[in-house]
Amino acid sequence: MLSGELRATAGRVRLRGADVTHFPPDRLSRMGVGRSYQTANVFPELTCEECMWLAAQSRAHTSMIFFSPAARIAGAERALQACGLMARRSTRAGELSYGEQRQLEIGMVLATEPSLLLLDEPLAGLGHDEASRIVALLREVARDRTLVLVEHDMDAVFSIADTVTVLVGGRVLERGSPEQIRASPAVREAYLGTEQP
Amino acid sequence: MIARILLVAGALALLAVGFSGDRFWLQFMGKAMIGCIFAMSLDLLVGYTGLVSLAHAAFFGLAAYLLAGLSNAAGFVNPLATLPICLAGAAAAALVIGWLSLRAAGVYFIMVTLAFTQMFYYLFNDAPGLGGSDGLYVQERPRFLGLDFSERTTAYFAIWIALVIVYLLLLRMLRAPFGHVLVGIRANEQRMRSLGYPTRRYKLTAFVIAGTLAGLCGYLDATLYGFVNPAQFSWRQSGLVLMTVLLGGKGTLYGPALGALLLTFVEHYGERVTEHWNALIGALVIAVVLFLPRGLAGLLRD
Amino acid sequence: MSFSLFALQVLNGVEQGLLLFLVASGLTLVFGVLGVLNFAHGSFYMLGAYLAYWIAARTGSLLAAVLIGVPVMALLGLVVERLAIARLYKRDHLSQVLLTYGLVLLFNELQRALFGNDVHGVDTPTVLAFRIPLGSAQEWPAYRVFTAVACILVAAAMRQVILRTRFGMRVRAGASNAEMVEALGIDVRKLFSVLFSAGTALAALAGMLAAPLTTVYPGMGEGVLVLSFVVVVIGGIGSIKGAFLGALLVGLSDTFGKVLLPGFSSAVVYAVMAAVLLLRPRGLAG
Repeated sequence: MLSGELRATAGRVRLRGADVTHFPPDRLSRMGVGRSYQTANVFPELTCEECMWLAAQSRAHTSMIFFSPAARIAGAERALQACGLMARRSTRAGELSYGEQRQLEIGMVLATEPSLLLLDEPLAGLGHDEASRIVALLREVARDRTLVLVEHDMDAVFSIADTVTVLVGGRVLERGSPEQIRASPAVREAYLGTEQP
Repeated sequence: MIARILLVAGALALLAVGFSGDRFWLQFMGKAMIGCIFAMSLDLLVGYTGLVSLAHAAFFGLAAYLLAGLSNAAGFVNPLATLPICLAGAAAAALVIGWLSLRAAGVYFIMVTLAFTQMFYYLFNDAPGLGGSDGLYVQERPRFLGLDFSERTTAYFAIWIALVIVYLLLLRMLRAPFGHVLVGIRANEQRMRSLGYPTRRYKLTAFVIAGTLAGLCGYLDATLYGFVNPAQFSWRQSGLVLMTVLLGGKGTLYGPALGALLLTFVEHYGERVTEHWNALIGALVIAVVLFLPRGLAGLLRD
Repeated sequence: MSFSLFALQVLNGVEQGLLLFLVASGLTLVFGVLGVLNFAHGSFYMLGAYLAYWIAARTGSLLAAVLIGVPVMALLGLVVERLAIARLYKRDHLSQVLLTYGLVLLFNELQRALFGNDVHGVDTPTVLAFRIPLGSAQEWPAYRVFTAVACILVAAAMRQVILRTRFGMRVRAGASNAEMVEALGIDVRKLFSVLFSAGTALAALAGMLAAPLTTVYPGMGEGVLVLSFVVVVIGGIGSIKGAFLGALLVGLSDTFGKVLLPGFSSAVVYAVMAAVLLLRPRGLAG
């Protein structure tokens, strides 16, 4: 809904003060909102670098350019570097491991130079090693951008986030710094409490 | 590299036919080359953008009838006037039909494009003064600067030039940012939108370009044969060209052109061998779908 | 237009729409549940009409033609599903369009080989060969009344089957979520075969009923196929209710188009479709 793919039934979405509730996804993207999906959502038939070119090219004023060949955009190279897939640049996205596809996915979002990233469970379905690689990548990314991520892996969340919002049954239970959340009795009861005898 | 040499050799062979002066072969190969352009333009939609359109025959027929109308009613013979008008007509029709059809996604799109094609068929079949199902003769064919396109050799060379230009244009377009966007849309349209591409606008542009090229084919066909009829609009034509694309190998450009050449021969010799050659074509379509989904181009690559 | 003429046109439109519904319902269900867009659906209508002509010419009875022809066509549907359609599940739309287009070409040639290119008339059953007066100036052929009633009965029976039987429940489940049905361990293969065969039989039945009204001619299946597509686009894919609404709308607009806009009548139906696309791109019931 935040990224414009589902229609809001109530309420408003604001971006830097502007009402963007009914904006389509492509328009939001061009306003600097990048998003990744819960399951890897890449271009399976294209190679990694082609995926990145497409992502970076989306920042051009227009792609209605018919006769001059597509240029290699520096942003694509940087994003490929950032997500650690330089060595796999000529591999088709569909042939990557699942973890690599997640890396590519985040790299594509980065190539669109977003100021705000919406990441839907970036660690879902990943093994331990793959997950820690993504966490490292996200920490890097979060340095100079706003990152909103939905995630169940609490260790990962605590290591990346500045502010944590705990939702239970669709309602906000608690909001605060990782330390505050760790200490919050309400959160303990809702999540951690169940583990205690 | 080998592919490129083969392509150039093929183009030169087609050019050589033009010097034969043989009336049958000029018309036959002229028709085959028009089929190549027709199939390549559809490949832009089917193979690159992932849009299965059955409206291609509509733009072909529309431009052909426009030429007949301009020639018969207004006496226009200069291609510098008639060609732009006919292409603009096809483009305008493609814009309207594309805009409406693209509101419907996936399988709806296929049905809607077919329905609009059928509408054109009925309109041109029923409209008074257009000769009904018999069609019309193009009384004065295009001519200018001493070139008379009712001469088969002249028409043949014009078609050859058109084929080469269209192939190079499409190739260029597919390597430009626009072409990359189309391929991205075919691969994953939702992701393209979330990357910031207004995908419908790109699809519509591709649809209009393909439709205009289909119009060019209609124009060339009416010039070569001097004759138009509503069967050109029939969904049989749309289906055949779709089959040509698959037979040749979608998403390869040269593949569909190859498919068109092959199909022209199959049709011609099929007609001679058996009265029921349509069944032959039917069986061929089914066989291609089941056993050769990547087409002739796929065979060549393996 | 006098009131009785208007009423006659409404009745004709409804009757035409009901026939169309028999064809379109099979098309929309087969797509909704099997996920296959079947271009050969119109061919079943055409073959039904030719069978009616052929059997009626030999037995002198349209009823016999229906009783013999419908099971024959249902069987043909089973064979086609097993041999061809079953290979299309999980294939892309392009393959589906082309393979079933190949079937259309084959069926057309079959019809040419068996019955030739001539147009054939089929006699209206003598019991129904009278006209019902409608107001002072108009009259409605009894056979059309019969057709309309027969279609309504078939539609009602379909509704009962779909709402009340286990088979119907599976069909509904399949139309809303095909993967779920598979996951529930229902024998999808059998469900698909039976449904496709039923769709074939319905299209053929429509062709048989229409035979005395429209005559029997080559290419009659393709016109009906395109109209069925329009119906499905207007109604929304996979929806029986949508197909019903769409079919009536198409039947009425075609009939009135012919009276009010002769010469451009064929465009009226498509204008209606364009309007629906503009206002409700996913169809009336979508």
